Amino acid sequence: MNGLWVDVLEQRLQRFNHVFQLVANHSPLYKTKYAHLRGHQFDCLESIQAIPLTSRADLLNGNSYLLMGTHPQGYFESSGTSGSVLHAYPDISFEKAQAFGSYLDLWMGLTSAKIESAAVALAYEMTPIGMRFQQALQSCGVMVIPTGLRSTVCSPQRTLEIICRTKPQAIFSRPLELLRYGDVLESEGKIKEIGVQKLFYLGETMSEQKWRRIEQVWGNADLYGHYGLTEVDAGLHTCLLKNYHEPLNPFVHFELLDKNCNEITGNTEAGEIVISTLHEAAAPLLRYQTGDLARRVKCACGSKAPAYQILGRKQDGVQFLGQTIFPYQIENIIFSIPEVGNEYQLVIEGGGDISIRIEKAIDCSISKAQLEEKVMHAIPHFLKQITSVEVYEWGAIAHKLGIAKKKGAQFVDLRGSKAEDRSKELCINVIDFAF
Amino acid sequence: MADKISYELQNSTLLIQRIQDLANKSAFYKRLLRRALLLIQGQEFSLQELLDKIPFTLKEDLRRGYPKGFLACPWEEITAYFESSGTSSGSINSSRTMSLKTVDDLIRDHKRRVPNFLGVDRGQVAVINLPYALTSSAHGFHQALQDSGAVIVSVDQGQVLSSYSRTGDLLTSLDARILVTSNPFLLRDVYLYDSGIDLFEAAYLEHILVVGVPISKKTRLEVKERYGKNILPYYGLSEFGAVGVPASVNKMLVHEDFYIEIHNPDRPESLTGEIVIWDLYSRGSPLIRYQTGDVGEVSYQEVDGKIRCYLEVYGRLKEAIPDNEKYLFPVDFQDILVGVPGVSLL
Repeated sequence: MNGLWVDVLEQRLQRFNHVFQLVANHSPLYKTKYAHLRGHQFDCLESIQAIPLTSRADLLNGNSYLLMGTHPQGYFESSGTSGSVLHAYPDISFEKAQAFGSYLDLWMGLTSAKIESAAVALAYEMTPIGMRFQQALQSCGVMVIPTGLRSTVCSPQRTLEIICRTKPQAIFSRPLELLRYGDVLESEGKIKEIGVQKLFYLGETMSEQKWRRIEQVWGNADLYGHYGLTEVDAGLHTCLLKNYHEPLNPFVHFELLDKNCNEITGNTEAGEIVISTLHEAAAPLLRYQTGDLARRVKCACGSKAPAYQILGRKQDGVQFLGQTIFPYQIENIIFSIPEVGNEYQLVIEGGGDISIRIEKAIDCSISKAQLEEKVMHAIPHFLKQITSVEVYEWGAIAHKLGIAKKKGAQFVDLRGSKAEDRSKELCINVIDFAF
Repeated sequence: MADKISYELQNSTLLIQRIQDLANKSAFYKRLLRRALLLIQGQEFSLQELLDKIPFTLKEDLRRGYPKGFLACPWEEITAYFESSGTSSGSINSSRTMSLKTVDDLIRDHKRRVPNFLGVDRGQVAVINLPYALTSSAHGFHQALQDSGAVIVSVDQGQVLSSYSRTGDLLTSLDARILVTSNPFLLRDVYLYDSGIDLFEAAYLEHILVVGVPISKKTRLEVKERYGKNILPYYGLSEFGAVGVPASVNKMLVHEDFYIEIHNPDRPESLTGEIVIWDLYSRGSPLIRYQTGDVGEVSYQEVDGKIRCYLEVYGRLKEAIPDNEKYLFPVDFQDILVGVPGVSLL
């Protein structure tokens, strides 16, 4: 282990002990939960496994995790896409945004690439994300265009019209929107004249092939990604080799736990990401079970911090013949076929089989039948639960300028749905705009 | 005496300085203010003579001058881009106008948003039900209220998840003291219909800051009397941020960052007419003699030795209905309907 990383871990241990005492004495949730451990000092990070994990159920049903006597700066909620809505009280101070801006600048090379303007196509609704990026980018001298996400005030069509007019050098959004916007602009031959250099995504699991497609559709712009949760207010960031790294700072600690809650140290086994927030905050969380799965990977990018591959949410996985299949695995296969377009849908049919709905790429020259055959042929044996591939013309699955119901890389589960509701369930957009 | 002439006199030096400043720094105004500058460099002149030399700045100018035509600072200092929502003409290819802001422009705007009399204390909950996409108001209130110590709830508006029901639920469950919205009556009616709860009777809710929609004075006073809630109107445009800020329930003060002219070609001395704005300090989008397309009435009052300008906004010029020698606006109908039992103020 290198010296810098050892220092970070040492600082994390100190901060863990500090935050532990803080929450054990002042957080209604942890006062009860850690009553038997109050006053305990941990002598190494491995020993924190002695304290109980914090689950989503604790946050939903237990006492508040907001420290007594503190006033949060904001009240936010998780989007609820992965279950019940959780409360969050992140640090939304200007100082934090400024520190985040410096971090973004260093990581993404904004100043060195002379990035002057950026479109922030992220959500502002009940999440600190939009304002966080707005303030962070402004603090490092970037002009921000807040187009928002899933907005009817700035619809996808208007977002694209603004992108064409203002030509931002960076765009911050979700993968789904980056692909859709890229598709439309490419179909109109406008990508080159816009000249986007940097792209940033969050909020979705990313397959390697989707990564490649996003970069490609945007004229080989550099893509950067972030993994995080609203309630945690910290996360992992990607490197040039597309792996997610822990930040080289002492303000957050990650664990990867197997089904029996034992730490995974090897590089192949998948486990649940468990996060402890170690910065001074109104509502720290210790050993929080994120519900997200990852595996450790060796990364050759040169970063000293541990690296992960994010697999997706636990509930996104489908069990089949003793294996768990995640959407990103299927996505990686279909996106490796150039004739397949960027919009797709993975459907778990009523009987449990999986069907894939894809559309042809803009310049696809083969027939629907040929493409269907090509996709079926590409599916490996362990995914033989996939029984059908439906092929549509480009743009036929969903209006690319509509507002999607939910993020990409997820199954549409029709088990338990009525047959007559199928077309409604398969409707990708919540609002369609004419395209 | 507090009148139009004393207001003009008080501000004339500032206006002349602004003209000289923009004639030097802004490419657009360099051309436009040539005649005015010559007049200033000459002998005596009246403010009216000076104004006669300055053409109005129009929304069309703003669109033509984008992005760098109006700048009064280096481009590198621009840190935010906003657009009007265009809701008055449809969201695409509408009458939208764009504005650029420096850090100083933003800080000035934030400072205008929370007048002291609101008495915002640390820990009080403020729900922001305005669009964060593109327009500046939500950002301004978010930052200003956060700086004042309020707990921010960014419920947004126009986002697919930000429904009136959700806003109402958050207002009531979090015991919010401040609501920032563009249509409190629609929010109240929808929530009343959905949940049976009248937001105007929510125990903790005290201030309802209203942006983007004029609400008549009579209506504001009626709500205050009946429910004890302060409906506090702001007047602002994405081009400027907050221009008119509440001084009380029945008065909106034109902030001293701005100077207001009333343009009424038929009756030049009238205090009612189209609102024309001078932004006295901004550098990203420094607009002077800007025709807003909004109609209002000004009044003046001397406070602490200064002439203050107060503004009552009636509505959009294009929404006005001619009625003999005057015009009727939606707020006039609001005045008729307010207090009529069973009638909503939507």
